Amino acid sequence: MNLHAIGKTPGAFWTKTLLVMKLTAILLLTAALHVSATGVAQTLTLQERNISLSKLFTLIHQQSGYSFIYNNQLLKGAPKVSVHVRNATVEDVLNTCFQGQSLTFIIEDKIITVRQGAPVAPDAQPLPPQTVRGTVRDENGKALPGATVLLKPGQHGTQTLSDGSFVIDGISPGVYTLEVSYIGYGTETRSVSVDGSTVSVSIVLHQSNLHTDTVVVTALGIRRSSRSTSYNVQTLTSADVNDVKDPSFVNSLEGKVAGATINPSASGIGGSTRVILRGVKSLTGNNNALYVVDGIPLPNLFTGQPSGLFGGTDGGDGIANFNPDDIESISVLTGAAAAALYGNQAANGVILITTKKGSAGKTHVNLNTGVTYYTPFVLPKFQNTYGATAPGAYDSWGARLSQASSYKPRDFFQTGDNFTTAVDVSTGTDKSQTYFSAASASAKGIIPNNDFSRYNFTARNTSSFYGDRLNLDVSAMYLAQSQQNIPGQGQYNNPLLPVYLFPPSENIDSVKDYEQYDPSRNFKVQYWPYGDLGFEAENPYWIINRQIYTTKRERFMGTVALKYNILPGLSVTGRFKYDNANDVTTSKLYASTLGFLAGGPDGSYSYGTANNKQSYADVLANYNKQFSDFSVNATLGASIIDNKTSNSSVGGPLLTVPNFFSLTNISTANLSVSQTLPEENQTQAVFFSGTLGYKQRLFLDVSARNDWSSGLAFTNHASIFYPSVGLSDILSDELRMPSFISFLKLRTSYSEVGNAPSPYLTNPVYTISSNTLTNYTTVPFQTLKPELTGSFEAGFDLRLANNQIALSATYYNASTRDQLFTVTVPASTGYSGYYINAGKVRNEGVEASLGWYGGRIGAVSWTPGFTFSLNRNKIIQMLNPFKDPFTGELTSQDSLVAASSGSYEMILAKGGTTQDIYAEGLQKDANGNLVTDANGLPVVDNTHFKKVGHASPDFNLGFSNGFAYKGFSLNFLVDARVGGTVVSATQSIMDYYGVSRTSADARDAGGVEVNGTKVNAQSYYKVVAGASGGTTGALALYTYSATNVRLRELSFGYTLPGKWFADKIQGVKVALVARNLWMIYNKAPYDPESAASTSTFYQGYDYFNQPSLRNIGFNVNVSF
Amino acid sequence: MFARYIQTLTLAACAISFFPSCTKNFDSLNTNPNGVTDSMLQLDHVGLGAFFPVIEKNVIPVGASTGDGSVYQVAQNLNADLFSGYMGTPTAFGGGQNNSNYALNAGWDNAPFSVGFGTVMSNWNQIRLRASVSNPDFYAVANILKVAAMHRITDVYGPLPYINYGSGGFSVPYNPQDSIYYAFFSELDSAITALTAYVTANPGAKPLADYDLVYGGNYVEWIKFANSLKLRLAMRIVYANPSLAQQEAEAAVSNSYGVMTTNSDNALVSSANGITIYNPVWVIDYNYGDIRAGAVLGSFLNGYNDPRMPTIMTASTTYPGQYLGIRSGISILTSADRTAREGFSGFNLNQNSPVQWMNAAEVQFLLAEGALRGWNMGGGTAQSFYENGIQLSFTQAGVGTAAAYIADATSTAAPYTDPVDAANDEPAGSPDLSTITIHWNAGDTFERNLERIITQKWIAMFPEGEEAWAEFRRTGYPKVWPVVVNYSQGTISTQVQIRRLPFPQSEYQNDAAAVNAALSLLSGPDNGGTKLWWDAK
Repeated sequence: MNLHAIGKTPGAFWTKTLLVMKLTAILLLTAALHVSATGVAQTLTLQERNISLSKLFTLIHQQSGYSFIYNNQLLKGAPKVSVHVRNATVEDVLNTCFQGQSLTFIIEDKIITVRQGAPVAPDAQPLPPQTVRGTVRDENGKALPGATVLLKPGQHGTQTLSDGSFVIDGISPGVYTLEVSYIGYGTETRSVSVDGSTVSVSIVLHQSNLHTDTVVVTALGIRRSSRSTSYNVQTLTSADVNDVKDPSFVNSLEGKVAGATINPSASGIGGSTRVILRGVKSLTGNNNALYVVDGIPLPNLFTGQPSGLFGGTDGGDGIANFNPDDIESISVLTGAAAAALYGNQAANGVILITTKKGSAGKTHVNLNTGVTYYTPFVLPKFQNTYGATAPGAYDSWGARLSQASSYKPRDFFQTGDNFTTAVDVSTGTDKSQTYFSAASASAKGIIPNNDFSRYNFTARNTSSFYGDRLNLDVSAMYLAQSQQNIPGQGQYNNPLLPVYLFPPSENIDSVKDYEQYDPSRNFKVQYWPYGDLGFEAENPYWIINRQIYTTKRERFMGTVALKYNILPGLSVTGRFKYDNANDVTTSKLYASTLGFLAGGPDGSYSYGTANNKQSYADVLANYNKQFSDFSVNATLGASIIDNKTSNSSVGGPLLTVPNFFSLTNISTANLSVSQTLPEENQTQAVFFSGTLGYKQRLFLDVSARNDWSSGLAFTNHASIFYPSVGLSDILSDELRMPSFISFLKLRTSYSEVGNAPSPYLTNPVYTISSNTLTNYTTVPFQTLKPELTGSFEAGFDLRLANNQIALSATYYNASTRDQLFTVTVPASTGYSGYYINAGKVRNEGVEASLGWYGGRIGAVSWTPGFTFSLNRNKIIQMLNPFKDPFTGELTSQDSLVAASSGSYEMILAKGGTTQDIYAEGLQKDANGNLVTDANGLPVVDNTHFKKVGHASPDFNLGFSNGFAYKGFSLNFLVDARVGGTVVSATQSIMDYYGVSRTSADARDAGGVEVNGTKVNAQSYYKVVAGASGGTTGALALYTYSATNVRLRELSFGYTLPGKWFADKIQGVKVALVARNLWMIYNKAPYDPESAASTSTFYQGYDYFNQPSLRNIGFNVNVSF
Repeated sequence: MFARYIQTLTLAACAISFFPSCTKNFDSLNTNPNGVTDSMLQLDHVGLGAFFPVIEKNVIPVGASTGDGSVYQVAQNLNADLFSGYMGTPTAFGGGQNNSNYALNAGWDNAPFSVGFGTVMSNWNQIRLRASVSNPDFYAVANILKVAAMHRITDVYGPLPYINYGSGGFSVPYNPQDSIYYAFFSELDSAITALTAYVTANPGAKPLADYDLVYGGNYVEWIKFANSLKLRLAMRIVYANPSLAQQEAEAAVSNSYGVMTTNSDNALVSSANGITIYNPVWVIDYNYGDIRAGAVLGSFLNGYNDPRMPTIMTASTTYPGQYLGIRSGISILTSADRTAREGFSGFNLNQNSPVQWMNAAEVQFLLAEGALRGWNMGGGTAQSFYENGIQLSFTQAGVGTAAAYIADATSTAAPYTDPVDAANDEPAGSPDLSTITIHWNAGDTFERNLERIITQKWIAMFPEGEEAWAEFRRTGYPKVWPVVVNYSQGTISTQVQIRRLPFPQSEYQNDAAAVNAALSLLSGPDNGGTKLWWDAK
């Protein structure tokens, strides 16, 4: 559609310019129709002979101020006209001139739309405004949510809801053009004639053609045309996260977003997810993406993460609480410019979630139910041919067994499962729409007794008052979640360690009865004849059955948003959101659990509560206006965000009665109490965001935000200013392009954003624990500044071959400075550390996506797509130079240990990356030969940690494929992460204990070669490998490439034709789904993407982590 | 048009003003509610005294709960308590290669340093800043505590960044151990002078009573402890600087308040003032199952038929009736070994047993050694001090008169049979077994009598392994058996035994310049085989 318009610049009517512009969706949405007509005649006086219609329109515009919208094609070949009138109305002139032309026109709000066809006779009496409603589906009958629907002319636009339906209210009778577009589909236009009643339309979009324009959701929930953004926005649909479901939907984004590196936690179902957009920027702060729901940031609710040898579990994150079925669409803003409006939370990029709303008209019900089964994905390789050193020994360096053992550590795992059911109902009238959903997930993990359940309820009502001048959007979400025995890593409470190290010659069945009657105690106590092995080992079956940790969460979120449309183009919105999460954690360790863990022989009990509250409020004024060639889209706003967290726990060893788990059963002297009073931090901000468009082709984006953060109290920086600027140009509209180029847009932007300063650093206090006051050990930091990321990006969006091929690529370069460091100082200074702002990290990379929307193999449609991400991370500067707070002398430090576990360390060093892994290796002489001791054995070099690689990948590649034939669909996603390094202490310790396949192979081969001579395998591994209990051996030898390629997702579905159900049911879709089905390439002894911790460090390290999960399941989706 | 912008701006400004708060409450928001501020410490003058308990809880790190023994475990239990012969571990830490058999764990090497500098010195500095001018008596006690804590740290490593602590500067130079010892003497002297002045001016006053877990604020006891400590430190340097040793020892004894003489003078940390302390050896023995009585301890107590034995050790559970220790420095391969050894003798302690820094018996043995060396120990002979020491220890243990024990001139250390692994046996006649008897024999050589004194002192000051290991290194007594397996890769001699711990890795990372400079202050490489300054016999 190539529309032209003639209008004029308000207040500058003396300029006589023919204005030609390409109208777009956003123009129609935003163009204010109150063109100023002051001083412009309402009647026309024309004396013209044989002029073209376009010339006529120009003249009418000049005299009357009326604007024209028409398609150039229409005027081609139209006869020229002559006109001689004096003080005639516009309508009369046009009626006269259109005689004999196959043209008609509509005048509305001083806009004249010219179109083909016979003129519509004006009604004798104006009819009341009507409603246009309809549904948008694809060829297969699948609803298309988020499609852009425009009714032209006029200010009528909307997006389809999750069921593909849309409603446009308040349409004056007349003839309109309905234009429906959706990414990946051809645009459909249809003429709609509105008369005395509601109009219903059913639109089918055809896959194969790419539309150049969609509405994308950007920061604060502001909807913008994708044409106008000067940064990369990637949009995903509900189907992207719901077709192959994960309890935490973020895991479903793996491989689908360019520029993102996503690592699920090794803690399995309900665990948290590490999402790094465009590389690790902050050396000491948070690096995870910010989640924003319907424009409002969520509290991250991060839990403590494992960070050492001994243990620790991941308690999940806030985003894992969401019901994935409530999601309508997701926008990923990988770059800082896109996120700049979030100021000091924006440095790590934003994942924007838009949730579903109710729709008017017929009630829609969607029912989704499914089951997923879990099995371990990648396990280390074990041996079963050598037995224990001696019967009862926990060390498999004994003789070769006459018959291979049947012991398989894999048998310890069970098949996990997850049953999910979600139902949502959407209903409403023109003025009020309601959405309600309920969902449940009930899962068990692969480690017995690891259970998870979650119930979500969401209700949302959107209503409009005073003739759509006032819109109210109220929503509430309630969540109840319960987790038991979340698998951890490390030595304590981890059943995998004794299971993996169990000697094949011993009988695991003999310890499956993990408790035996003890006559002296008169109850059953733990049976584990092997002792604690120096690492507090216990019977693995006891650990899973008699050491019970539970976490229960209840969370409530309520949002109210009120929007008032003051004038066309000017609206004010006020929003408030309250988010309150309450957690209750308990631990019950039964009597005869190791005293080290339980604190006594009678068991122990602890009870803890935690509360997180976030209140958010903002006010936004939004102004949209079209001034002839220029469009303005501006938002001015202010926000306040306030977080409060508190927790307390109480517990201790049981005293009077064993296994009576009650606080009353703990001696008051042994009761340990901890309490965190509500810790609060607050950020207040004023912000502005504006887009200036020129001819709907050139766009200038500017945003500015000023943050006042309570974390900066007691410093001399009261507030921080974060600006951004961007420019985009649709080159294909400006220059003549070869015909195969359908669309080309260039964009670039620069922004400065921050990472929120941590509270309380500037004003340290003395702590009290166990009634004892203790000095603080960190020097107060009164010059604290927030970290700043300056980010530049440039990219293009290109569509080829009649919009069938879409290529989008972005180069970015982000530099993060003023990083917050805790400099560890020698204790002899009187402090353990002090803070400084220093250092600089650069992330430079490319993210790209390529899609083909017209693929066909015979009758089967094929939609392949690639995503590509490459990030190069470099520490440009560490602490250099900085002022010694004690003497004022300048000093510098070029490296810092960021994480350490045994002989694994993550070291931050100038010139390195933020994810560098170091490990101890073997001593070598000047010729590179191994240094050996008197016995010919190598010697561990435990004085030097050497760099063995970095945990982050060099690049990520995702290859998705969708096939559709009639009702059948097949989708699969293969992704590859190339580069990066992981270290497996599990393998090292297994070698030490002689349970690994490697150790058996070495024995079979007669030993291990050291400098060309074979040495005894046991002696060798006792030197180079690691024992549990703090030593991990020469982990440089246990370093593996993290490169892996996997079939990440597969779904095969069939939509049952509606006629089978007499069209009572619109769609029944059944699907077989799988995740992590096939590890195509992997050289590490575990899944290198599975992370023990979702924090910045302790990455690329396996210390008896739970294996990642392979899922296979079945889904049924019914809507009626 | 412009008016509309103004309108919008005004609207936004209004919106801000409607917010419940403004940035002016940021100061209170950004004050951690979970801590105590300086202004709160002004109330009741809490700030003057409130930092004492944390120091007293860390001269020897005690626990704060029944499960809290890990600081002590790595700071003392898995080094000095093993090296002194007092204890042995049934646990195969590090897969059987660990401190006990000289595979020194670098992570554990940090622990004593971290307790001394991270906790004791840091909180001492708070007292210095708050009380050194206004309350010299508080500051004096803090200085005594500092010496009591820090001599245990220098005795582990040698040179330390002690004298210039907290004096400014990102890097703090290490002092040679002799300078540190000389500083200890002068710090103790000033403290004694200050406290003496206070006690003279305010007889009976106990301003520190609310905070003091050791003497309930009794300054006279603090003076006696300071003198006793001075005597201990003087004796420590006797082979390195004999004249100063004698001078300081004689000065300590001749002070008007003198040294500890009765068990009521003993320096013990106990639960008090609402603070409960947990005996860390009990936690590690009873709750961790990681420590048991040492074979050497069992050998002496069994050999001497020592009536104190059941007050120190518990009988074995796997070998009922036997008092059976675990030899340190052995090879523990199979878990069966461990399980069996877990049933060896533990310790007769309970969770709130006071933790002893020094007792009157030890002082008597120090006096005995001084007398043996011909110093003026204020009247009394080596024998009388020696016998007093044994009797004080008996009294402290509640086992009555020691007369018969003192008269025993024949009993010697018992042979040792490890029922789990014969490789660890010390059969009768083994040169590792001490032949020293109990009864004083003035006719014996100096060395025999020194061994006698130190051996009895060693029994009497159990379980203070840090002091026992230091005295073993200084004198070679009592006869602690060498390790059976030695994984030190040649850095520690099996016969000479371990002499120190390497400087902490954290220091190499955080203050490389200073610790590298300190290497020249050592008599050898920075490993466990190098002798300290006072280790000069």
